[in-house]
Amino acid sequence: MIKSENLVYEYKRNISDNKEDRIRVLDGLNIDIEDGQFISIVGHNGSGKSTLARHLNALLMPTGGTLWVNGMDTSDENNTLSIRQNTGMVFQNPDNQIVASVVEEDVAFALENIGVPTDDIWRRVEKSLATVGMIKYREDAPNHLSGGQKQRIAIAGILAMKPRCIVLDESTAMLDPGGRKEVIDAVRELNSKEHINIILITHYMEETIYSDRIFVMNRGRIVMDGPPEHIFSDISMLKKYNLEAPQAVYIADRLRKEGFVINKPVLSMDDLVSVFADYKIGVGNVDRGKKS
Amino acid sequence: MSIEVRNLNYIYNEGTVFEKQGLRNINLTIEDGEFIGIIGHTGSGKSTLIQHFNGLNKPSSGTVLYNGDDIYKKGFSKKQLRSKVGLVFQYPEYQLFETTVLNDVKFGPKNIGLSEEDIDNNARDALEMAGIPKEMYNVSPLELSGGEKRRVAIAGVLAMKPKFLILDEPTAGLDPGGKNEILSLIDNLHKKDGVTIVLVSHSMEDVAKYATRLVVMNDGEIFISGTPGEVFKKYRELEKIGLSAPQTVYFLKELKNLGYDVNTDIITPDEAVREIVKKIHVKRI
Ligand SMILES: Nc1ncnc2c1ncn2[C@@H]1O[C@H](COP(=O)(O)OP(=O)(O)OP(=O)(O)O)[C@@H](O)[C@H]1O
Ligand SMILES: Nc1ncnc2c1ncn2[C@@H]1O[C@H](COP(=O)(O)OP(=O)(O)OP(=O)(O)O)[C@@H](O)[C@H]1O
Ligand SMILES: [Mg+2]
Ligand SMILES: [Mg+2]
Repeated sequence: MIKSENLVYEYKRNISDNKEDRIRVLDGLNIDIEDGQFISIVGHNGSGKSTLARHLNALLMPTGGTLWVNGMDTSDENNTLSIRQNTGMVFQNPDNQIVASVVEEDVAFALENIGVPTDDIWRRVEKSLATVGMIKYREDAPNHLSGGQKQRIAIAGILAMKPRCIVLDESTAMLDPGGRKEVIDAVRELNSKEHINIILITHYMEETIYSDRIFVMNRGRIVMDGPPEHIFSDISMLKKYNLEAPQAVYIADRLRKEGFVINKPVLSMDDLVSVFADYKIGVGNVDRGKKS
Repeated sequence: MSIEVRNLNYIYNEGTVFEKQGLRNINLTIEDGEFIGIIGHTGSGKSTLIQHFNGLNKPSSGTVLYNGDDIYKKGFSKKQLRSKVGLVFQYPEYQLFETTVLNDVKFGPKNIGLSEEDIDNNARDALEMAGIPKEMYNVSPLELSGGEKRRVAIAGVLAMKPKFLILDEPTAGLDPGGKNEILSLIDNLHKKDGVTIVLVSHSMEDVAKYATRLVVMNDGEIFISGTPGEVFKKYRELEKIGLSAPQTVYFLKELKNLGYDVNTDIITPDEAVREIVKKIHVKRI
């Protein structure tokens, strides 16, 4: 569970030789995320997404207000270790996250660091590699893997710590289409089967359509919060926040403007196809007109 | 003007136990005025290849010609070459090192010996084009968000006004609005100023929309090359090598399977909308 009250963060920045400025990057956030939810966070460059992410595992502490992770105040340093064990982070560059020269050692690395007993380590490593579908690569060298595979190894390393929450900060930005799909499928499965909280920060709107809720950030504030079908129902609003709709939503919107009547909610290309399929069999959701 | 790559092989860490063939027998000519999209799975050799275009990598064998001249021949000025062939790196962190944003962007034009006035004008123009607000000019590039760093890195290369612009995943990390701005900026440079573009991208939709030709890399080799339409017809083969077609292609295929008479060569959402409006007539109520 993640909860905040009026969470504020200000960076200090030297604007000239001896002048220091404080810039408010998180401006009074009130967040309430229940266990097991899949949350996506979108927003313009510099809107505060990564700064918020760094608060979730106590890499940064609020300069105002309070943030609780699993009921623990992140400002209290006595909680830091426990918070970090329960919140795993995956970043953008897959290469920077791999430390060992053999896949299974890489996954074991963090566990050794926090003093997990050896027997337990190998059991956990095996289970988490299996969960992300990488068990057959356990003895391979990470640098021979594709970007998507490396990201799945990074996720396995985090899973092995048995966190309650995984934060992915643009973890698919550098991946090919196949790798992107692998990572998104893997986190969806972790969410639905293991009930792990997922916080997905992304600029790819298509990736957010599976989440329970989407937060839209703008200049340090959460300006929209709702399920995907709600967030993507107002394309002109999204534009104002420098965002866009997933392609299927965009196409459906354009078709509606051309006079097609599409009553079903559309988020994915599959949804869009099914609208046309219904029409073919006479259900008749695709209609041209109502103009007269 | 052209960049020509002939029988190029590139081997990482040659002669050590870490030896790895990065590129294998590449032949490719980039003609003046092209907009080339390079796609390929992670680790397929895209970045390794484009770093040969401005002489950053030296081939293990084979040649790279700029307007017919071997760029590794003695006496060939790499500095001259790099003022003509601008390269935006995949990870902006590798490109940003000055103390302020403005100084960083000035570095390139300074290095090629422009006048003080031109350096300043070019840098400010480029920053504006890349969407960096004036308040950030004196900030350290290290204190920027991921997308802001990306924009500064792009500005740094634009400020040299290169004839060839090579961009390695320039829109990774940009917000959707910023991505569209940067892509149309690149498109404008291509169409209005005649700049030759090489765009490395993992977004099939972006290369479908802008590129005149695609080069598909697989495991260090050129897998296929052709117009976006030709390449994306082979979507099944692309899927086998970690790629895909743009979503539009699958959508139109599905419509066709449902019995709608639509053109399945279409690759962008806007064309798809036009096609549906034209072909699917439903009775008016
Ligand atoms: N170390 C720092 N010092 C000062 N300011 C910073 C620092 N890191 C980030 N900022 C500023 O804080 C703001 C928010 O940055 P943050 O990285 O949280 O944005 P973001 O939403 O993750 O953006 P992006 O989509 O580009 O990754 C930005 O305007 C950035 O310039
Ligand atoms: N410095 C290096 N030493 C050894 N091998 C390397 C080095 N840099 C890259 N490689 C290897 O060369 C191959 C091609 O790498 P390259 O970076 O060109 O791929 P890419 O297509 O740009 O991938 P991505 O989409 O992930 O950026 C990869 O297998 C990579 O692991
Ligand atoms: Mg960020
Ligand atoms: Mg690369």
